[in-house]
Amino acid sequence: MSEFVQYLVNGFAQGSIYALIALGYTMVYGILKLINFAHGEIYMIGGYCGIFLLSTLGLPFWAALMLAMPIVGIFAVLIERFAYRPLRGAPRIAPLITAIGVSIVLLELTRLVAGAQPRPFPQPFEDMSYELGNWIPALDGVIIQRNQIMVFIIAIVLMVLLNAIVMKTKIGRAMRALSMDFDASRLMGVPIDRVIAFTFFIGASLAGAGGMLVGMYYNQVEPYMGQLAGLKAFTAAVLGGIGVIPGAVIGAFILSISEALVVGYSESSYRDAIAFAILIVVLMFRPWGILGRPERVKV
Amino acid sequence: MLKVNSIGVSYGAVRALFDVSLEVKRGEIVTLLGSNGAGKTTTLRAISGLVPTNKGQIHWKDQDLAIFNGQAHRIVQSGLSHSPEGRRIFSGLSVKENLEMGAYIRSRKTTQDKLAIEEDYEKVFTLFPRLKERLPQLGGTLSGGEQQMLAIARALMQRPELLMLDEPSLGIAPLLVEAIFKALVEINKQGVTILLVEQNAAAALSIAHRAYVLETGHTTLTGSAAELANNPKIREAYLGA
Ligand SMILES: Nc1ncnc2c1ncn2[C@@H]1O[C@H](COP(=O)(O)OP(=O)(O)O)[C@@H](O)[C@H]1O
Ligand SMILES: [Mg+2]
Repeated sequence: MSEFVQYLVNGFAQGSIYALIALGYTMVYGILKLINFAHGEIYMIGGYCGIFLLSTLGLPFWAALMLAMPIVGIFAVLIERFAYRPLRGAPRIAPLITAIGVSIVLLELTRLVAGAQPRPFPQPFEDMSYELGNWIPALDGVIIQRNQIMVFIIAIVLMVLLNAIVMKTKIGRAMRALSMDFDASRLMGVPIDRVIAFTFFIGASLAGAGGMLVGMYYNQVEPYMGQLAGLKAFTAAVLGGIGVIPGAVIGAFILSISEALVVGYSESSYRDAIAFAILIVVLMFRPWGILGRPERVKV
Repeated sequence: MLKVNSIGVSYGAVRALFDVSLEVKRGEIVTLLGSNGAGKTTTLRAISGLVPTNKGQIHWKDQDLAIFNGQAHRIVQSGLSHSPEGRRIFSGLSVKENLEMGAYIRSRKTTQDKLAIEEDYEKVFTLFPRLKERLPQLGGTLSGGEQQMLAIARALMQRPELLMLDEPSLGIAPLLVEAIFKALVEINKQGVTILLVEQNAAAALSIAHRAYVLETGHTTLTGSAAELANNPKIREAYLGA
């Protein structure tokens, strides 16, 4: 029992980070039908941005987080503006290849500027952990680290904010409309370029926050961290139903908890294979994912 | 108020419009008739900036629409609404949200603005009482006729000067078609100019003041609705008489 709960705790912390990244994949896909392969690198840059703001500028954690998010967001808006927008009318493969190119460029630039070695991430909070056994005897031995709680709470707050923007605001409604029908949205007077830019901004801000949180959680960031995390978050988005916002969150937690359980009960070296296995199975049997719907053929 | 001057449109290598000219004066109902594939939809799409023209001009309220450079959202803001073929309501948004999308371009700065929007909701509900009963329902769950009402209502929420409608009778039960055409007359009486694309020529000619006939990308015939309704060629080709 205790063991199982411990794995869940670990899974939820990691899943919060996957979810923050997966949301950006799914939102951009929902509108542009583009798998933004550079999104993992955006998350990685969020981590480096965090180091810069915390160590170099010496900002407090909350200020750094509030600043890193829009900085990374604007960065993604520029990528959209100059790399993807010119290809908007082109066959779908063109922006896809461009996205892979952008991802490579960002990765190599980071390596050049910051070096290939992992960088230590300054710890904003004192290390602290809580023994759940002190309160609930049945959970004797289960330990929650303070960082795990912070990661989870920050991620949940951001997701609640995202939900409010998407469901309650005018631009959020325009985002949803745009994901359903481009031309009809244009006929409603929606400035689609601006709404698309906003979507990239929000998605990247969340990924940037994820990069900072993962730095805090694992005490370091490195240039390659966006590759595997990006693939896993993409898997989470596909599993939940790509294009469906709540699906990304559900997919992220299913993936992270599966990983935590496999690491716990069998072999930790299998951990990174889970995502690939899930991705293959989902694509074979239910490509539209848990909450998605089979794509209807438009007449 | 709207003057289309010899425009042409191509989809890649396919030429859809060769030479289309028409004029709509303030207060009129003008209908654009033509068989399937004649280019009616393309004409409306060109006017609202969804497809670029490769020749001719479109004048709207004494402005050349070229100044908007194909930015459809700015054309809508200038008072020209387009209820597209196939209704194209947002199926995953509620009826209420669909209407809010219609009001997207409306200013909400002053209390007067907000009152005007409220007023328009009431107007639209008077016109289509069914919509009021269905406000929380998802657009995609409405019947075809209700979706068409929603599409028109959504366009009216933009408070247009000119309303363009593309085949509002398509795939709708005859009883509802009648209701919709009655509503169009009412909308026109309230001061909205209408450009109506229809394959249902009889219904369209019964409410229109003037008409144009489009054949394979050319406007070939024009006249008052009464003239065209009595024209033997029209009667044979479009009225099945
Ligand atoms: N997206 C498109 N791509 C290529 N050809 C098109 C497209 N839309 C319409 N066409 C062609 O343009 C012509 C006019 O079509 P359309 O304007 O839809 O006619 P209508 O509305 O009168 O039925 C047709 O020959 C049609 O096949
Ligand atoms: Mg048509």
